[in-house]
Amino acid sequence: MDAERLHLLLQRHFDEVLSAEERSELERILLASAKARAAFWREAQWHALIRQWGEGEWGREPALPPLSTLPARRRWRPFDKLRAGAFGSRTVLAAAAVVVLAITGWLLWQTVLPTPPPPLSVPLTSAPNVREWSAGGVAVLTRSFDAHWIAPATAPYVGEVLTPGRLQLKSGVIQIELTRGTRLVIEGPAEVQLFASDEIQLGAGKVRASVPPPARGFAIRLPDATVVATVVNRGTELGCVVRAARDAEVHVFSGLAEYHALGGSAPRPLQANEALQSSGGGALHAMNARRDSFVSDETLEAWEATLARQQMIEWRKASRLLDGDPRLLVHLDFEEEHRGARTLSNRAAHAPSASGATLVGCDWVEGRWPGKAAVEFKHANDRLWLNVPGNLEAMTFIAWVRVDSLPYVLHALLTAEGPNGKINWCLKSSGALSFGIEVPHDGRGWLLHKSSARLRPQQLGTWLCLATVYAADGTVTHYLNGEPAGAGRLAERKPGGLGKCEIGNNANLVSDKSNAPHKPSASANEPPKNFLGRMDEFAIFSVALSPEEISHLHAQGRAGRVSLVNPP
Amino acid sequence: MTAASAQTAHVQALFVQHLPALRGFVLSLTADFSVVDDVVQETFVTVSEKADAFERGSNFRAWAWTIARYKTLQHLERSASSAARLSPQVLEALCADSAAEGSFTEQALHYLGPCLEQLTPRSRQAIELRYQQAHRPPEIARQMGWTVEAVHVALARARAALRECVTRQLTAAEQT
Repeated sequence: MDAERLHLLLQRHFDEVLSAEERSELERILLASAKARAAFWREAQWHALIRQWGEGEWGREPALPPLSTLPARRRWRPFDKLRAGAFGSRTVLAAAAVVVLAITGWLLWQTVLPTPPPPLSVPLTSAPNVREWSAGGVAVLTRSFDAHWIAPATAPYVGEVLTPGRLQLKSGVIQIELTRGTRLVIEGPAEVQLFASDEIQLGAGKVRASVPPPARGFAIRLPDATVVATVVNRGTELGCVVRAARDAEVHVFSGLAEYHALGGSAPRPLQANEALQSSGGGALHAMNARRDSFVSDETLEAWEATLARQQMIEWRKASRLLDGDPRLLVHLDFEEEHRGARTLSNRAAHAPSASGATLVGCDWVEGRWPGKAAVEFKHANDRLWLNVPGNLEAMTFIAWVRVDSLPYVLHALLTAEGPNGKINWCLKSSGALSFGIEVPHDGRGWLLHKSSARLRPQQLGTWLCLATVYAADGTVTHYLNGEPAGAGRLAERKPGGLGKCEIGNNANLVSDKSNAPHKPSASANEPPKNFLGRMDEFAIFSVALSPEEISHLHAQGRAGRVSLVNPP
Repeated sequence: MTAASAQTAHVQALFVQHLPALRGFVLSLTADFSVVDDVVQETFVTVSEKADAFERGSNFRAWAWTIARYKTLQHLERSASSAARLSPQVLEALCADSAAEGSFTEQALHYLGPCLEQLTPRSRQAIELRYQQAHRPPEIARQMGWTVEAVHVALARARAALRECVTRQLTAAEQT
């Protein structure tokens, strides 16, 4: 037997590059010679060794590889709750938004300390696509109940993508979903470090993890040990507690896990209903798993339902109060009689009659929380038509939206015909807000002002408050989630008013002054500029609101006022 | 816990203990990383269902490996590109060999990391693309701008280098 030839063929086999003739030759040799078979196994074991290393390393990279190079191994099974396959595709994970964002009146309301929104980050330097924006994320915050954070300024919103880092919860309960499929329920006070989509560290507090089969290998590091979910079949569910003084517990509720004590002794398998308690010093005490020490999924569902009901009630009250404001021109709340409605009522009490909006395209979907209605802008022709007659010296636009992606040069929020030229309020592909006036017959095109701060990539898929104020002196101020995001002046030309408006699109407002028959719509020749996402509230004021008023509007909606975790 | 469920639990615990070696075994039979997860999962199901058939104290590996081999062959028969795999007859002959049950040690894995660092950057990249991200040589060739043949040669050389390095470390460790 030619050992060298065999070696060559075996190498080619393990790299999957054998030709048909080569394979026949290899098979003949293996069948004929026991020595050849022994050589096969030696090669195979090296191949497997390196693969075991590779499997262990995959996922330790901080950024996920782009979708096109995800390895063949990662074929996700269609579990209902698994959305890992969608990550990296156009829409970021759509989490049920529990946090209510309501426009409320500025009359005295129950004052609650609002959680300040996260600081607006460094703007992206190049036009990103969604995949770039998703890079680095390892999890999404899907639920939050009474969460109080040690660093409120950087606290994530529900629906936000989380990058590797530390989560420090003073109190409350949150649920996050790791991109490999593991779902974690964290009870504060807690400190959890996210290393990767399959590894976390529990420094303090309680975590319950539901690990489905594709997330096999998910690991939780405790002070004195690491627990690995060696998932087979239907998945593993386990809970860990770390109290002060390095006293830790591991409970396995279903499936299998391995307890690897620091110090390298052999891993100890843990099965359903088994638990281990360790106190600093290495002593391990076996006991039965106690499910009721951890917040159950049923409790979370109940809290979510209660929270949604309460928030809906409070939002309706606030909304009715807002409607009475004489400065309010348009208020669309998307709460119509039937979900199939093709018109939206203008709730502003002082608006002229028949000033509602008409839907074109736009499916009805869920808004900021269960029970709240919204419309979705997805197809090239989706839009709302609206008419806002009259002169306007100043104006304020506010929209509550969920931005799903920003692939186009611009994404129209509102386009108005304007007596002095078209007016455009939109989001740019960089995540910046922009307000502009067209200067026709002038060759200069558009006068516009862009916000300096922009949407962060992690905010795609979360509900946001966008606002822009145009003051009588020409000052334009943008706001992202209640925070000023840049100001400038557009003094050379005044909008003068709005007139016919399109929400979510700007393809069809060709100038009425054109006499050409059958003029093709602008969309035939221009790239798409429609908004992609959802909207569940929209308002236009005839004055420039102050920063305090905008901030108050936004902040009021963010705070969860209902105490669920420790009800009175 | 009843006697039956105690037996199942015992067998399952053994499975977990031998899991890395089992994965290595299945991997050796198919060389196709994507099949391994499915086969291992199905093997676990069968092993659990047939737990009573296993005699405590007897050779777990021999028994479980047989099941795994059967599952692998089933998979290969079902999949379309079975032309790319070794024939069932050859696989049977291979598995009959007692060398099939052996596997590498944890220590070998431990030395692999440092040995990988000694590869040239391009070699290391090829290894990562193949073994970490589970790409086939044509895709690696595309990403690295090489021919498929060049990728294979690089991988073969890298494996040889790694093998030599790890073996050297293991021998040195034994002697101290």
